[in-house]
Amino acid sequence: MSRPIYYHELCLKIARVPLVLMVALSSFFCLVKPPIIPNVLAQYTWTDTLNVFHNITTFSPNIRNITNTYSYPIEVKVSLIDVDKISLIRLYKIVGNNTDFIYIKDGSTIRPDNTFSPLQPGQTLVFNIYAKPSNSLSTGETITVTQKVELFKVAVAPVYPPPLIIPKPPKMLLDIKVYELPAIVYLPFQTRFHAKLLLINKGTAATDVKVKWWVTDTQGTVYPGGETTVFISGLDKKYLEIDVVTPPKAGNYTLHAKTTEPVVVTAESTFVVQEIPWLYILLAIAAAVVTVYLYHRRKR
Amino acid sequence: MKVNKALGILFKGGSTLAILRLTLLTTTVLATAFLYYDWSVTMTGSKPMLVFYKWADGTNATTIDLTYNIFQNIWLVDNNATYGIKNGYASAKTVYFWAESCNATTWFQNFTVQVLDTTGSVLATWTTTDFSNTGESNAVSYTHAAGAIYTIKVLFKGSSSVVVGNAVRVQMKLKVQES
Repeated sequence: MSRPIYYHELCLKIARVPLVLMVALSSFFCLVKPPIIPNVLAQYTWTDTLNVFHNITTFSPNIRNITNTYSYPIEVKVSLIDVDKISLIRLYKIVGNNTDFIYIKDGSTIRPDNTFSPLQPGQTLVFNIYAKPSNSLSTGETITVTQKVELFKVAVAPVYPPPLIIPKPPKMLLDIKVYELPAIVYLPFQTRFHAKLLLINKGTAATDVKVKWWVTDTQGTVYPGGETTVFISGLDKKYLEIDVVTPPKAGNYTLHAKTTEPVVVTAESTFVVQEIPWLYILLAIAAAVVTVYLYHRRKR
Repeated sequence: MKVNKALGILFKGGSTLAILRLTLLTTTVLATAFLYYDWSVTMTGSKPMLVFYKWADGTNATTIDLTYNIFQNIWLVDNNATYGIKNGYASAKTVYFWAESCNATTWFQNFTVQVLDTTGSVLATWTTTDFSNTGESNAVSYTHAAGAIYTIKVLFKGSSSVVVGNAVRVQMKLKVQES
């Protein structure tokens, strides 16, 4: 008893057909037989005859008309396809509803096509023809003009839902400045000192602002500072007094201040640390003691 | 599951097929024509049945030139122009005529064209003093009996603007329904 062939096995066998052949067949199909226009409902052939006369313009009113029986607007395009003896034409014009569709003058095509749009439902497009031959046209001789009339559904732009407008959060605009900082800090008396930072909220939304500060020397050595959070209303400013630990050595230093949230803004300012030697201090104390002693002795 | 696997195998490595499918889809979207007509118009050279008739030799013409002198402040009257109008149809026709243009409108104090029947009665008169009434919308009409030949009468009076040696041209048009 033979084993049944499953569908995927069958497909595997089919897939073994050389890909080249499949591509060739596909290309052949694509080139030779383009897809049928799916919306074509009908095709008609109109044939009209006119008598034309030397030096006389033949006017054929309402030679053809198209009424839009659809429930939507359409557009009508008339295109010139062929003229067998264009040199024998002095005038040939197709006009409909005040629109010139085709215009031939003195053997030359002035307008080969035009589109009337929109033809509203129930509206009729009436074609009129003006024709005049050149005097070279013999009696009984004919001129045939072939044109194509196409009807299209008026292209309507697809209606998309209105874009969802997501309100943007107010832009945070912060500024920070070192508002007050002693120019000189003396050691060993000032092991700590105060500075004042100015925080400005230029945005309209209130926010918590995280602030950090630290000190660096000219060598880039970082001396730890502190960190705190400050609430600032929209379009408001706030002064923040901070406590700074004085670096242990004399020198030039920079106080850095930085907001880390919601946005990063930095500021800095320099100050000098001066160190008074202990000897001078002791001498000053001694001088003070002597001064006090002499003052009391004179009183006695 | 088996079908999915098979489809996967078929489309695996088939990028060309995918391109083909894309092409088909694109073509479908672009093809919006749904009705079309092949329209051929054949024009046959013919001899008109309503023509200008040359009194002198009985020949027919489809266009004519009437040439006159024009004088300041003097009427010129041509009671019987060189050509008449002949209706060769077997039935009466309504004929319309009008002045289409004039290249020196100030040259005339009056310009008039009349059509007279075989008894000399005026059937239609187109007249102007300033050519403000040119164009088909100002056409006059008359009924032309079958087989009849009617007379064209032209009369005009020049104004003081007439320049000796120059010419003025008035273009007249005539319209008839063929059938």
